[in-house]
Amino acid sequence: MRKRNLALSDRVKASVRQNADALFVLALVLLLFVVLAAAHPRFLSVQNIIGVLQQSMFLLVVSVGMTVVIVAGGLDLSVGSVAALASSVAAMTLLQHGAAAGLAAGLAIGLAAGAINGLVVTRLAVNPFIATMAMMVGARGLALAMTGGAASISLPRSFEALGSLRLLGIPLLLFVTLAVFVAGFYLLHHSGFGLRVFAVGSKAAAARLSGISVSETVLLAFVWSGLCAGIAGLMFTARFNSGLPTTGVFLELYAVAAVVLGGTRLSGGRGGLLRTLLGVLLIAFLQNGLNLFNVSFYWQQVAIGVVFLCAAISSLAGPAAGAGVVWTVRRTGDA
Amino acid sequence: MGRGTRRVLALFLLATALVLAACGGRPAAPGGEAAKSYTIGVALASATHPLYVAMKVGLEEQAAAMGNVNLRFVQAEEDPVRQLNGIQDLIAQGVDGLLVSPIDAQAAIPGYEAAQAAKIPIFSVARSVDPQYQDAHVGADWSEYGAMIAEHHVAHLGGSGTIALVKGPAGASFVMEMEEGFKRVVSNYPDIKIVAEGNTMLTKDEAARLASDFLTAHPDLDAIFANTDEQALGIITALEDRGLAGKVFLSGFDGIPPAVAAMREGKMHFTIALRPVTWGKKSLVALIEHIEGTPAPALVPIDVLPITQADAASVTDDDLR
Repeated sequence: MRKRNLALSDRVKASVRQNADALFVLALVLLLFVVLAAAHPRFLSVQNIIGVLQQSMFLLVVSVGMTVVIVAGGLDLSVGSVAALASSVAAMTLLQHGAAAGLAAGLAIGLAAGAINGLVVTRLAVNPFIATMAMMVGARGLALAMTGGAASISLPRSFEALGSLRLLGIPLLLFVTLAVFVAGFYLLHHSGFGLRVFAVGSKAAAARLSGISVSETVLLAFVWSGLCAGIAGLMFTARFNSGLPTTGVFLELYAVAAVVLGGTRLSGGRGGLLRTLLGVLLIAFLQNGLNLFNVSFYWQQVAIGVVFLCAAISSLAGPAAGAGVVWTVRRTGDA
Repeated sequence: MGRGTRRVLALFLLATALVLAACGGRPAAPGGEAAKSYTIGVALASATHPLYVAMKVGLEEQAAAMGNVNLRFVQAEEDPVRQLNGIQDLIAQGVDGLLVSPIDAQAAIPGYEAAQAAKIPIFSVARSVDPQYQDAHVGADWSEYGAMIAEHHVAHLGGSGTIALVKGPAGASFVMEMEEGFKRVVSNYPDIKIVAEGNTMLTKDEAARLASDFLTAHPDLDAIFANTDEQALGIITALEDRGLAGKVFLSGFDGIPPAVAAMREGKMHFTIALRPVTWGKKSLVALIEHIEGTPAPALVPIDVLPITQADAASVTDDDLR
């Protein structure tokens, strides 16, 4: 009996050690939450919390896709542009053929963009940074070309219900966001595909030797990320009742930042979606807090930059590095 | 996939891109059958920004209507160096006149000097450089529009109240000048306070985010200034979340059809239509007149259309062109 307890406490200790960086971010989020709640009387209002979640749901959805790609050892810089393209195509299709066709078109754009990214990376062996940057530029251009350079395509008022629908006082789109997160969580942490993603991201050569199809795994990771970007695009269209070809600039960078902030290793093989959730919440509440106190745009940029840097440093320290900063830690496959 | 295959594929992609580019680009029709035919070089700041897209439409429509004008466009996409190269290419081609939206007021000057040296009339459109380098500026004093919008806020508030500013990108000259004009007017009314202000990109979601946070901090806000209509439309979504659409005085700028539609529904209150197609037409007319011997004034004013909620019902999409 005593032995078992020991083992359990050892396991807890080990888990804390392994997730020290995530706990650090959790502490940061809680600290920010407490400070803002104490400092601003309306921060804790239901309206503000729902407002913040509504503002950051797009970032969370693309970050769910981004996490899987990064854990697999890749990077997807195209998510903002693909979301904009999906939003525009969905709006234009919706105008012609109705809501169901618009929905299908948006999802198809996401899947197709993800598949192209994945195929270019795996079949042509192009570096993910370059491959998805090409998609980032190309998809943006395509969105603007299709809409003739318009800033947005407005939909008739009759479609407005799609975005403003609420369940128990909570916007429907937040439930969609939750569903994407749960699906991503299952995929990455509870499915065979997720295991393969971690294996490939840790050491592709070893994964290949153990019989895993590396290229298929990477391809599927990019398809998933594309699908998430497509869903984010549809959410943009639903919330603003319009196609938005110009939206989502820098969304990919914020997504990478959110993923890395949570402690998912940029080099792949280690990380998780709860970490990403923390990263997104940290960015969201930070921006909200800065706006509530009317901090000027310039200083907001500086503040966000500093937080990103801190997170990068804390993730460099890595798991089990609580005893001292270890600059050269580059472990793989330890989570 | 072998290296050879990959190389073939890359070549194929390159060839496809070239063919697409060739199809997309419209080669200038060889003009000059009659004596009075002009080739005008145009270097706008962007080929994707809606303002310049519409302006280009106006230029093309006017050129087609005149019949003796060929337009040659060079693109720069907000890159000052690329724009300067484009201007110099146009001068080398011996165009009869130039319309330029200088991306950077300093970086474009060598292009203007080269035009002067070659005795090619050069007009600035929308954006401007130091007046000594240009023959005319077809545009506006943005601060006057900021002031005009402020007058409508003040009239609505009746002497006291709170305003939030949702401004465009920090550093953009029209953003800074409109802000200056707006604040100049508001500063005359000690009981009207600007309680929050911030910069966002010109998209609905970014503007909605900022407005939503402002509305949390100031739930009793009386009025919101948006730098563009696109931002104002995003702010309407944030207002609707709180059941405040129509209750908070909201102004935009640009005069795009969806904004006028929102005004008809009572969700937005004031905008100024820039009428970019008309702007493009006017630029070309003024330049051709100048070339033919009627010198243009230093500032050729554009024909804007201020729109209140009362006006919105009678404004047509044609009025906004």
